[in-house]
Amino acid sequence: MKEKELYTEILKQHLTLPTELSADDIVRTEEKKIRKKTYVRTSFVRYAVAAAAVALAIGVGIKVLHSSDNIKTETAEDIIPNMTVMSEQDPSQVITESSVPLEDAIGIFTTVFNLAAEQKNDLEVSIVNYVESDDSMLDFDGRKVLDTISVSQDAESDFISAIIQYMIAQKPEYLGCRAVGKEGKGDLAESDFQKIFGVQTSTLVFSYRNAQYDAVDFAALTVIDNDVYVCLFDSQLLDLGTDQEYEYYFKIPASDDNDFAAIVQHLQERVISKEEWEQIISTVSPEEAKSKPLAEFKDEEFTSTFSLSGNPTIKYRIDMSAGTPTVTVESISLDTDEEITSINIGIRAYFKREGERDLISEINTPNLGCPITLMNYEDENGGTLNGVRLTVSFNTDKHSIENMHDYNDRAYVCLIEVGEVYDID
Amino acid sequence: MDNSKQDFEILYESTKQSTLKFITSKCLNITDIEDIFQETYVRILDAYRNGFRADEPEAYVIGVAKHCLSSHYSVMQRLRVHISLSRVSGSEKDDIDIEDDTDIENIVTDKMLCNRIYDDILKQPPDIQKIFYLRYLAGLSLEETAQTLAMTESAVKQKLYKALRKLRRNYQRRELP
Repeated sequence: MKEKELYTEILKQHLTLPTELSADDIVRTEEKKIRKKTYVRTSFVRYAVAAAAVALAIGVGIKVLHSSDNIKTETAEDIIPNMTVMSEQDPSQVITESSVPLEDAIGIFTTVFNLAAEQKNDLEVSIVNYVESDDSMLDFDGRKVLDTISVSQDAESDFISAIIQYMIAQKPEYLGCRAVGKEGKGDLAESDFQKIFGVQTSTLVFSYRNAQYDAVDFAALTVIDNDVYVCLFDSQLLDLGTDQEYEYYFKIPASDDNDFAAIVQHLQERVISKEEWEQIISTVSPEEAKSKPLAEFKDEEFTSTFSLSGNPTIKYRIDMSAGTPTVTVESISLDTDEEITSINIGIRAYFKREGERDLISEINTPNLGCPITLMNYEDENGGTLNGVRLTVSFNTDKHSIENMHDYNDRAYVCLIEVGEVYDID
Repeated sequence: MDNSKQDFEILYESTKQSTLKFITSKCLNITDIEDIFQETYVRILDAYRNGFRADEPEAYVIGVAKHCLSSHYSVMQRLRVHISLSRVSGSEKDDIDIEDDTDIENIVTDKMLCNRIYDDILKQPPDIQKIFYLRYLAGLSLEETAQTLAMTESAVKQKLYKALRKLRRNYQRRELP
C-alpha cells in the first residue's frame, strides 16, 4: 500500500464525499432539516416566553442570545437590568433580496434601516464597553453592557433619530445594535467591526444576517463632533475568496437634522472617500496597545526619526508574546504644524525556518494603535519571526498626493526595519 | 415522480462536481464541506418545489452555494481568512514522492493511529486540508486540484510535500513503541 492510499483510507473513514450522495439523499436531508428546524424554533419560542416571564417576575434583566445552533443565557446576576428577548424571524418577513442594487447606496442604506425599523421589536441596542473586554479576536462575550436604549415603535425616523441623538448626547464608547436575522448570527458583527477598525467612540453598528441572501451585513454610524459618518458594507466585502468589494461612506454634517429623512437626503451628496473614512476612524481614540514585546526585540518600544520634511516620529511595537507576531504602529508625529490626513501602514514580516526558504507575510492597514496580528503564521508555516519591515506612509494637509491607492502614492514614506529583512520580487 | 424532483435530479447530477469543487475551494475547514454541500442543494430543492427553475443551473447553484458559505461561517471566521495574506516564496519542488520504509498497511489497521493522523490533517492550514481532500478523497489530479484551488500545480506539490513530510514524521514517531 502506498502512502497516498493511507490518506485516502483515513479520509474515507471520517468524511463522506458529498458527490456520492444521490438526489434522493438530498431529499431525505431536507426532510430531516425541516423537522430539526421546527424543533429548534419551537424550543426557542418556549424558552423565550419562559425567560420573559421569569425576568418580569423577578424584576431584573435577562439577555438571550440566539443562534440557530444554540441558545445562550446569562443569569440575572451577571448583567445590568436589561430585558431583551429576540424572537425567531419569520423568513417570509425578511425584506432584503439578493437583487439589492449594489450600485445604489441609497437602496442599501434604506434597506438596512428599513430592516432595523421593521424589526425594532427584535433589536437590542446596547452601550457596550469593549475596552474592558477580553482581547481575544473571537471573544465578544467578554464585553460589558453598560446601558440600553428604549426604542420607540413609532416612525422609523424616530428610531434612527433617537439613537443618533443618544450618541451625540452620551458619546458612549461603543454602541451595538443588533437586528437578528433568521440565522441569528448578526450578534457577532459588532465585535468584529470594532476589532477590525479599532472604532471606539460613538459608533453604532447595525448588522444583520439574511440567511438566504446575505445582501448587506453592516451599516455603521460614527458621531464625531456631532457630525454623523455612515459606512455601509455589503457582505461581498467579506466574501470568501472574491475580490469584489462594495463599500459606501457618507458624512452628514452636524448642522443637519439628524433624522432618517435628512440622512437619506444627504447621502446622495455627501459621499466621502474610503481614505477619509479610514482616517476618521483611525483618529478615534485608538485602543491602547497591550502588547509585550518579545525578548529578542529587547522589550522596547522603537521610536524612529527620519530626516524628511517634518521629521516624522513613528512609535511602534512588535509583540510575539501571544504566539503570533503582532505589530502596532501607535502614533505618528511631526515637528511642523502639518496635519496628517491619510495613512497607510504596510507590514512585512520575515519568517525563517530551518532548511527552508524565508517566508513572508504582508498586511496593509490604515489604522494607528490597532494591533495587527499576522494571523496563524506559526501554525501555518512553522517559521519563526526573523525581521519586520514597516512602511508607514501618509499625506498631510500641506503635502499630499491625490488618487492614493497604496503607500507609493503618499507624500511621506518612512521605512522602519527591524531584524533581518530583504527584498523580494 | 413529480417534475420538481425530476428537474432537481437533472440539475444535481449536472452540477454536483463543480459545486463540490467550489465549496471545497471556499470553505474554511474540510469537515464543513458536506454540510454546506447538502445545505446548498436542500435550498435548491426547496426552490424547485416552489416552482423555480434555473436558466443557468451551474451559475445558479454556485450562487446558492456562495450564500450557504456566507451563512455557514461567522464574519470573524471569514475575516481571519480575508486578512491573512501570508504567502510562501521560494523554490517549488516538483517531486512529492517520499522515500518510504513505513509499513502503511499496519497503520491502516491501527484505528487509533488513523484517528490521530486524521486529527493532524485537520490541524493543517485550510489550503493543505483542501489539497488532501481533493487529492485523496475526491481523487482529483494535481492539475485539477491546482485549478480548483486557483494555485499553480507546483505550489500544490510544494504544500503537499511539506504537509506529507510533517505528517509522516508525526506518525512514524507514534509508531514507535
